[in-house]
Amino acid sequence: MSSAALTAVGTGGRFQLTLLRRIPQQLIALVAAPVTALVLVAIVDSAGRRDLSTAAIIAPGLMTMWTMTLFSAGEALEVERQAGTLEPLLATPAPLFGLVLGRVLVTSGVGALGFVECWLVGWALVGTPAVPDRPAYFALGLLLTLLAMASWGSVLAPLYLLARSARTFQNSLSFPLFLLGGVLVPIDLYPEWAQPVCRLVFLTWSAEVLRDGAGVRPASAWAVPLLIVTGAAGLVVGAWLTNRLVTVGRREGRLGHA
Amino acid sequence: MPELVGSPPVNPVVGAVRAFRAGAMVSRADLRVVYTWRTWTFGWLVRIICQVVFYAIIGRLLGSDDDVARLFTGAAVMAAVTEVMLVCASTTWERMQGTLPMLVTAPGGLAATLAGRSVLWLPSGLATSTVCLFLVGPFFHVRPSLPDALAMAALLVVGVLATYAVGLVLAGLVLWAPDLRNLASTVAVGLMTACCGAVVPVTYWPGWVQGTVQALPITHALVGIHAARQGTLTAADFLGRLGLAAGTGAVWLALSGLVIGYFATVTRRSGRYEL
Repeated sequence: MSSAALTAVGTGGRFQLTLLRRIPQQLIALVAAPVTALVLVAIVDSAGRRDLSTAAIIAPGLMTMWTMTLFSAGEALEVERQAGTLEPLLATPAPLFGLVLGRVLVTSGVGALGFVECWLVGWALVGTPAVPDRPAYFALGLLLTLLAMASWGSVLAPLYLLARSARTFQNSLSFPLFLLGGVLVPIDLYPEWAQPVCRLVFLTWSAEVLRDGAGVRPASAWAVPLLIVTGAAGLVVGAWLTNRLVTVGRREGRLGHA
Repeated sequence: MPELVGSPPVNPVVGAVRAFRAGAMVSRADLRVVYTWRTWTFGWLVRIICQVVFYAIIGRLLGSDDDVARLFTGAAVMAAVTEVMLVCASTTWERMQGTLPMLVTAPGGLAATLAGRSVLWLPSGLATSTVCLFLVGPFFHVRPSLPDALAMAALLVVGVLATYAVGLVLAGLVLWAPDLRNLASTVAVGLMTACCGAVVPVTYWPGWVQGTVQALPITHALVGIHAARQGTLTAADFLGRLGLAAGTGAVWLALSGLVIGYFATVTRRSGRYEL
């Protein structure tokens, strides 16, 4: 990545941080996170499966990160368009993809705070705090998850502009992905026909690695490489879509409402 | 003599009915904007089915088919609750669109207007839950007999209608702080999902929580629906749960009239209903 792109990532990140501070409604997923954790931990605890409570803490953490990414970061460029600032943004020499990636990274990173909330809820409900068996491996999983999440978030922002009908389905991209990504239930408990599709979703490997690091169940040896690959795929698609957006926008000049 | 447009209603009940119908007409127009058949079917319905299956499949993790069916059923019912609680958001739309001052000053009664204004969520929510329970449910061990299925449907309708009244109370409170509209409904649905017996037995919670949730109609509907799914619902239980859901719903409806009426009174007096 060039130094201009890195600068753009930093600028986008700082801008998004300011937005999150000034528009607290964008943090609604963080408020919902403890309630989701309450539901999921209570389900496993009430069934006498306290051994699954750590998995039930990880799941709402991942769900919170993706929800934040989906709603805040996904709208990054759409909001610029509505404010009439998209065209000036495209006219600047700063790489647009860097700006978008920076914004999404910060949003997903703030969403990761949901893990702390869910961990506290789990502790309050079960009575003992969940402690990862392999903290370094867990932290690596969280870092790779953040990067993968930001990569796929960077796909959504240009996608909503290039295919406006896609935004209609924005509300519908949460639970299908949580289900396919096996955020709580490992995909080997899914029907066999569904498993190949699940393996294409980065959340599947995020959940595997995090559950392994937390000591819930061992992950496949391929989990970390596949998390990197599925995450990087998002980066490639996001960069391609953003560049296409820039090309189309500069050539046809019809990205704004007018 | 034909009635003049804008003439005062004959009595408060007729006025309230007219206001409710006017609100419902706006709601019907909103429904056409919010959903097309395509976005409802391939967007919303697919999303809800995934949400319900997400909960159901936890039953596999827990290791029993009964857990799968129980979680599926509870999550399917809560899908309708999720949607009717959107009344919090749609009520504040009037404030955000600048039409609330006119509604407050109109003689028809704000509570009745707002009660009709968000009914769009009811058919959609009930349809979503019904599709989940009776079309997708059989794949997740939810296979009630016909009489039990009819009992489940009746309890679902009454429970969801009554929960709409709960949502109206919350909407009346959220009118004071419209920015909290999504937060309020999200947290309320989450707490109801956790505590009202949808996916976690009510007996799991401390006594004060068990007592509190008896005031919520969906708790009684869920007890009946789970019993019907297991084939253990008696006629007396059915009528009892239906009555409790409807009764608590009526109390919430009356409360919504007070809460929204109070908002109307205060804002009329102070004139502070701007954004």
